[in-house]
Amino acid sequence: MKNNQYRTISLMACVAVLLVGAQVSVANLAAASGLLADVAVMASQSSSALAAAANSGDVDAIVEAQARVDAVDAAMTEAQEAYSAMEQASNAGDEDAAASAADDLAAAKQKASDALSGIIPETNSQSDAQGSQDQADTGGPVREGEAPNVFDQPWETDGVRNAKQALFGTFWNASSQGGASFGERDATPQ
Amino acid sequence: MNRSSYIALMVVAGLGFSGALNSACAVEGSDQLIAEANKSISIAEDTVGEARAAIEAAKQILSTIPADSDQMVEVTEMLAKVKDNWALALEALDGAKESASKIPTASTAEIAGDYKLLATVNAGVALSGAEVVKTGVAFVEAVAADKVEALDIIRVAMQDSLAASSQVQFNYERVKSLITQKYSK
Repeated sequence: MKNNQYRTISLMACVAVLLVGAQVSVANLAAASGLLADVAVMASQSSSALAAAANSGDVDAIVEAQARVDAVDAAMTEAQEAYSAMEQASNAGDEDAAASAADDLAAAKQKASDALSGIIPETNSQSDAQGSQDQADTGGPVREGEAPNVFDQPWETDGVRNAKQALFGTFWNASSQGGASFGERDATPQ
Repeated sequence: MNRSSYIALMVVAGLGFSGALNSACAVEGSDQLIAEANKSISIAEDTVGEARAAIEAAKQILSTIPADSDQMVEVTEMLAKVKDNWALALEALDGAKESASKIPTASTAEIAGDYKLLATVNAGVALSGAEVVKTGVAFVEAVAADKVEALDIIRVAMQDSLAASSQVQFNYERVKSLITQKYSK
């Protein structure tokens, strides 16, 4: 008889622990959804700032605003991935993985916040720089001064310079002087 | 007293102590939660104020755009989105204030925290809605000033802004659903 009572009490205790655990997971997911919403708010703020910059006609302001939009978008993607990972970990009952994903989500929010205030991550600048190098490298013979950026201003931030370089690289490649076609043209008849 | 009665008594005492502790926390921590919620609401209110000013400016500017302008159809579409998001922003701001007003009277710290979360996310809905309004009005201004080169940038910015605003609303609904789920168990 006593054994049955102990068994019932143990069972109730287990159910209570499971319910509390589930509530903690749900509470964490709700807070995480709040963080994800915060990042999305920052994305709307950066887009609005880009629209205002476009209306101002100030090219530097447009380039800077575009760089911020790109960085916030990158942070938004990271935040969404972190949330998905957290949701899966919570559903699987893996609290460590869920906590790790929550940290990633908080880090993504910080990145978005930094980007919105003009602090563009170095990794983005490096990949942008690599991107413009890739665009400039057309596979043809290397020409001295290929894709020179006449708008480059050395005193500007790396993010702005890289974004300008990327824009100019695209323009250069589309021009008659740039692109693979130039290097592949036939020599003059002489 | 037999052993099972003793265990049951201890559980009840533990729950009672935990409840009392939670109530004490609600009183102690609610000021901080109220301050955080009010900060989010204040930021949203500022942006909604900017959006209101932008709408007033747009009313004046709109009359300067010729009725046979090539962009008139697009302007009309933008204004429809502006209208929807303006209504959404105002509604969400009211909702955020209502949630924040419930923090001081919440019976536990956990419930107070949930009201704070609802208030901040709803303030985010208001803020992103107001940003959509500002972006839409920027398009109208660009058309009126014949800034053709700006239109492409603003079009993309508007799409991004609408997508972001939808994300905020989606997450608000998710927060509400998760909180409801928590208390329905």
